[in-house]
Amino acid sequence: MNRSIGLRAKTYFLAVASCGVAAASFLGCGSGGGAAGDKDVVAMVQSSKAKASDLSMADVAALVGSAVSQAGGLEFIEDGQTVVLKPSLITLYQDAGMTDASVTVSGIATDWRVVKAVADLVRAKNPSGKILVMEGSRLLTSMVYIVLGYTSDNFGSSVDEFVALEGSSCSDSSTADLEERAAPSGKKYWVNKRYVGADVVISISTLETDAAAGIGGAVENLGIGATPAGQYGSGDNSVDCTRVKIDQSSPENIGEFIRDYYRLRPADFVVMDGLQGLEHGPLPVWDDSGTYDYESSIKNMRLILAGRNAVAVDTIEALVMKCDPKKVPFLSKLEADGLGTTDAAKITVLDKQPSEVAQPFAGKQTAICPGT
Amino acid sequence: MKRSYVLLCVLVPATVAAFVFPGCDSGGGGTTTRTTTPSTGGTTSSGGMTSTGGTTSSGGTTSSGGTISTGGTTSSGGTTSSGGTISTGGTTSSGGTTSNGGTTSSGGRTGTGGRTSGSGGAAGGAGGSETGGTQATGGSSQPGGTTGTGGRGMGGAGTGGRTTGTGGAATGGTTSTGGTTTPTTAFAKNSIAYTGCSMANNIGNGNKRAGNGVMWNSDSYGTGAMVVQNWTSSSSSSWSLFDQKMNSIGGKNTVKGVMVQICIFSSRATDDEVRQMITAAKAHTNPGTHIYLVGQPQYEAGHECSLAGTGGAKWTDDEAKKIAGEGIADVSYLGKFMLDSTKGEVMSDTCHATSSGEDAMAKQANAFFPAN
Repeated sequence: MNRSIGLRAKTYFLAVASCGVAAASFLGCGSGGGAAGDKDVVAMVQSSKAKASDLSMADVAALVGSAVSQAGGLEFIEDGQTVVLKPSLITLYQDAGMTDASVTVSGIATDWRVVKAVADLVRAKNPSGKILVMEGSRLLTSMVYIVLGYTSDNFGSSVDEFVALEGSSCSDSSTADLEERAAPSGKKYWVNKRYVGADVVISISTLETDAAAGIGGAVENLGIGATPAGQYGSGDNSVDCTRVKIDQSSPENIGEFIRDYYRLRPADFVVMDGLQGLEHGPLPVWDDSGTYDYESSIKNMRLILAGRNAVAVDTIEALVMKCDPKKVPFLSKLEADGLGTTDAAKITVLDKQPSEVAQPFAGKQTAICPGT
Repeated sequence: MKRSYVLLCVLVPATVAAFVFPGCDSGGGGTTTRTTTPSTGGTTSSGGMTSTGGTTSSGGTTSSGGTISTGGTTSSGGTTSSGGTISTGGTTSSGGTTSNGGTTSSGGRTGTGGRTSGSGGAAGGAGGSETGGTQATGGSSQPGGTTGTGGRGMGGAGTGGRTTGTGGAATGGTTSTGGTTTPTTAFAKNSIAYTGCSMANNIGNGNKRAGNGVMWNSDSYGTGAMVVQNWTSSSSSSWSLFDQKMNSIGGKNTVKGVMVQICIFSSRATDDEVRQMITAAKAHTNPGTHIYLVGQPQYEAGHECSLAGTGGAKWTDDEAKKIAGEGIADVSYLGKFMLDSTKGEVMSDTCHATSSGEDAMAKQANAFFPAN
């Protein structure tokens, strides 16, 4: 197992800032790099196509390949390892259960094509290892996978298994597949054994605000989305995996949980699906600060971000949304723990700069994301 | 609560009736002839306005006699008599809006009599020595009809119809099995509540445009994603929402019936979960409030709803019939809501109704629950 690589972004040497602008030309560019001096590196590429919905599978693969390559690539992955790809599939609906989310570029869930592109890159480095897609949705994940295109038909041999972190149902309270681990804070948490024991974890999140935590992103994707619903949900509903036992009453409270849980198994690499951004996330209808609909909440960003430090990637994500990363409790806590920085001056952003692509994203936590 | 016997095949447009009761159209042929009006005798006698006798008698407006008599608006007599709006007589008489007589009489909106264990229907006359067969029990709340008098059917003494039943010549029994089905306008505004998921919400949406006011509409009552498991606990948030809606339309005393929809994800539901849902519905309404059990909307042949999984939508209808046939007091099977994707009534997600589909289902609801 090689679990130390995820937090070693600062040891990289090769700056790849000279890579081209056109996303389609990025494949193979800047391999082996990922850091500029002591700074964390975040690569951000944007498609030249007008709309996220215009992107083809080839376009998505090119964008992902470019961003991953500029961010240092996946050279740290060795053949035979177990690699977990963790998308964010919080729900299959775009509203209060009346309309399915689009299978691609919904902004609500990670586009399966992004995960497929990452899986193909991982498989190239790891032909005989295990590649697992693992997720714990708010609904029965096995069903969410199917509805959102996470199927063997779409992924072929690039993924070995789609794992529902809740187990057999949202009320599956069995701990046979879990282990209890203590966070640095001393608190104990239940975590899936295969997830926490994986050689590599890649967080593949969306680009969105979050009603509870302030922003979504790479850290929150693991800090909440990797929790087993049988332990953190109500336990009495087999298809509703909402983590009601996690205190989400304030960004501070949920931030404390995310900090602890994320530290149980930090990401080794991050790819962020910013093809379609979403304000009033994670789902506009859940943002009870007003009445918001899906169509008016999506943001045509056409972005893919990548990096080896999740805190750094989330910091750039926050700036893209014109949110204040220093006001996101889980980021500032992890920064204090030494797991990354929220100081943009200490992050090298390759290719597109936040100032070039930023748009105001509104969220429930207006102190973090004012929407202006 | 007022009740009505509704000859749907007669009262509603043929297109609607055909969706709701497949037997409304002329049925399949027999070993002898395919007839229209009437069809009598033969091994298999089906279709036509009147289908009588034969080993198997099915379909048609009136289907009676024979060993098995199924479907049709009126299905009576025979060893097994089931389906249809009125199902009477025979050894086993089940299903249909009105099911009475016979050794075992179960299901149906109004079930009466039965010689031994007629379980009656929703609000129908109780069996037993008073109004039904020798030892029949069941029927939910009210014995007999208002003025109807039953003849002595094959399965025991028939029971009267609700309003003007006068009996008639029974083909399956010795004499008649009870009253008529004089359609009445029986339901007051907002007297029929509903529970279910987005599919029920679809009906509620349609009720706003094409409803007759009897069944609730979806105003301030979004039930998206609320599958069976969300309704099993009487204290769930779904029931809180139900209570809010009920209070907004006048409270418990306004509600005389609840259409309880069995809505599932691909993981389906257990029999116990469906029963728990019924129990919860009773807990939230006045004693004697009738439960009309119904599955998810059904589709044209070959169409599947992906959220429910292959065969899932049909399973919900089968489950509704099965649980309604268990003889639970004040519970009956309502019938089918139908959607036709070839007519633009189904969204691209393969499950939910379009606006025209919502309106179509609202009209079907109007037929189930005529306004007074």
